[in-house]
Amino acid sequence: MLLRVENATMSFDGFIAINDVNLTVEKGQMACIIGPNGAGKSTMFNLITGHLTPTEGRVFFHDEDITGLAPHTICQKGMGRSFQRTNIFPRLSVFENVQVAVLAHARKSFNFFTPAKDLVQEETYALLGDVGLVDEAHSISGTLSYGFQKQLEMAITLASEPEILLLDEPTAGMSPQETTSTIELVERIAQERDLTLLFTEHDMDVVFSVADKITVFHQGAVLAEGKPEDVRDNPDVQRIYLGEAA
Amino acid sequence: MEPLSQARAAYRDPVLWCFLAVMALMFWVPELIIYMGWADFWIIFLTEVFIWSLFAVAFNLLMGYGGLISFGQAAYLGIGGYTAGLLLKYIVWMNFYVALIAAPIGGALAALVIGYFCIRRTHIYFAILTLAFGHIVYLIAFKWYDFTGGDNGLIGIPVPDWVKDPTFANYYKFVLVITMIAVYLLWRIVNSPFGKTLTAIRENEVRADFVGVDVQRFKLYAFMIAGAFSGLAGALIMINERSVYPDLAHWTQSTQVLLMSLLGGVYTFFGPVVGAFLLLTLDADITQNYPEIWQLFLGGILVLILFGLPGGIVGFIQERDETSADDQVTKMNKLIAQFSRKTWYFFIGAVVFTAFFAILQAPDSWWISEDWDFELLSLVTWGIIPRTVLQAVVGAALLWWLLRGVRSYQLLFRWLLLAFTVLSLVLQMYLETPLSGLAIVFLWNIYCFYVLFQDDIRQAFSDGVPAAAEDAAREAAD
Repeated sequence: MLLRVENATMSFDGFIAINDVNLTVEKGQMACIIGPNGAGKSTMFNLITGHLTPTEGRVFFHDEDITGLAPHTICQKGMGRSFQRTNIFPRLSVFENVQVAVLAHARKSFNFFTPAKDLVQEETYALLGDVGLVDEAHSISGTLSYGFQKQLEMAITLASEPEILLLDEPTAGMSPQETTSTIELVERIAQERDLTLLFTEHDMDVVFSVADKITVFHQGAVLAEGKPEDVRDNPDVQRIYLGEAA
Repeated sequence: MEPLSQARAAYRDPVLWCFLAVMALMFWVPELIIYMGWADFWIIFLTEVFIWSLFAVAFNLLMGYGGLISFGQAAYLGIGGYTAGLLLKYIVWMNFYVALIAAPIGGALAALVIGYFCIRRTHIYFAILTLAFGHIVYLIAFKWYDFTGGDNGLIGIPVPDWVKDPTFANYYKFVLVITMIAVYLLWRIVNSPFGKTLTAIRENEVRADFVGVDVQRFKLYAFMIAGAFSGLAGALIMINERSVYPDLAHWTQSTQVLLMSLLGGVYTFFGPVVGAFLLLTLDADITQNYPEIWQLFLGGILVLILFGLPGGIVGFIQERDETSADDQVTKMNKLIAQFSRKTWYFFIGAVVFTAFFAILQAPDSWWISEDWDFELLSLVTWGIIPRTVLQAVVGAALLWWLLRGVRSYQLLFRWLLLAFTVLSLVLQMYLETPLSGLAIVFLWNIYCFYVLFQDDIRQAFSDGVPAAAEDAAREAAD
């Protein structure tokens, strides 16, 4: 079991955002969390990545208890994350964006005098190549198009050589073409690097084409869980969630 | 390995080497000042400029690179000054150099303690905490009579004999060398992996955290580095005056260094150096004749900078109009159009400000007066307003013609334009414009040189006219 969340509860001053949730992700799985707005998907991500500490319950990664550890420590253990809103370093060049992440992963950040430009060149260019951004290496990342920025964020995330990738709405705000190419990129990279995926997504076509396990959140609790077909046929799910579309 | 060599080429930063070369040349400025018979004041003045440059660059490591706006940076200036001052005053056998090395260590240790609390908060809360701690440091210096001498300060601090030479040239050179070394070290630090990571934290703390960066630790180290170099600057000020007063740690000094960074350009390494030079020059030029309007003037300058040049002066010089999607020709044309526009700003700024400072310094000579021996061929005797009008009209006509040549990529005009700006500087020197006016024209010189000798623009000129530029030139001619 790669990732295991046991009886997690998160309350913000009495408001219970996550209520006694159990979640497991196995190695190699493409797991997806769906649910209406405010169901607690992003809170769940924040609990796993250490941005929030659960009020109750534990989080295990590789059977190691990571509850309450700082985000950077959890990241160094092999968890990568992309954020719902694009999260890059806008005034740095594309190259520097990725380089900072590579340096952090290689534990070379605490170096005060070596010129950074000479370090980890090949690793950085390899990552930029993976997401198709080599030509933009010297552009200021904030001037890139939205689709490019998402690709760049993927490269930043991959720089820490994660085993599991947590993607929060990877296609939010994208055109259909951008959605298709982003999903292709994610699937290709997951396959090449043998990655486990845990993602949230609002586009049901994407969910059912990528995921091999779906967890449905509703009001902070797990409503249903299982293979895509089973979840699709679940009457509760259809009522609260898919019902809107049907 | 093409990308590798590209990055290597970029690493040979010409700006740093220009700075170090200019600093090295300035080693002999005291001899020049003495030889020319100018006032010793200028040697002391330049010494102060160096010290404040060092302080401002150290401060900007926090503000520009780390995004940590400290309102209490003068605390470390004070701690450095008092550390070295107390050691020299109360320990008889204390070696001068040991005391000088103790100052940055004292600054760093104080920053470790204060920073431990401050970095736990962000944005305005961080700023207010630094202000509060800074004021605590000031009050300790101000009230603890038995230890710091209170508001009487520490006076008569023993320094080696070579510091006390009557022309101040020795100490000038000492400070120059220390500033060169310290600024070089800071430059290495901001370009190291540490510096890059610090910039990433400034840009996006949450993301930096989740690429595995221990954000708090980086901020604390940055705080300590800034504290150490500020402490060094404090000790240099103390030795310059051979005394130290609580005022050194007062919050007004913190705002002074903040202004220097803003004026010069926060997101540039050398911006604070330019800011320190400009602010102290303006101060020297204006307080000399109109001490009462200095604050008003400073406020006016600040408003101008924040609205007109939000990136500061060096930011204005370095800014480049480019989008990654543009092709080469569009990019070149955009850059040249931007150059043309900014050259006009500089021209207007130089004309207006040089006249303004000249009138401030010699208020009686603003118009042709009977006391003056008016000669048609000697511009000095014209009076400032008439000659400025002449400069503006003739200069604008010439500049218009030169810029037309530059826009059509004619190699000769690039050189002529450069010569034009250099001649403007020579003209202002001949007219004995005050230092502030000269500084503005000098920055214009640097700007023209900086843009016209960028690799890509130089290439566009020597390759001949880019296709689209021909059309643009034809349009301009119509």
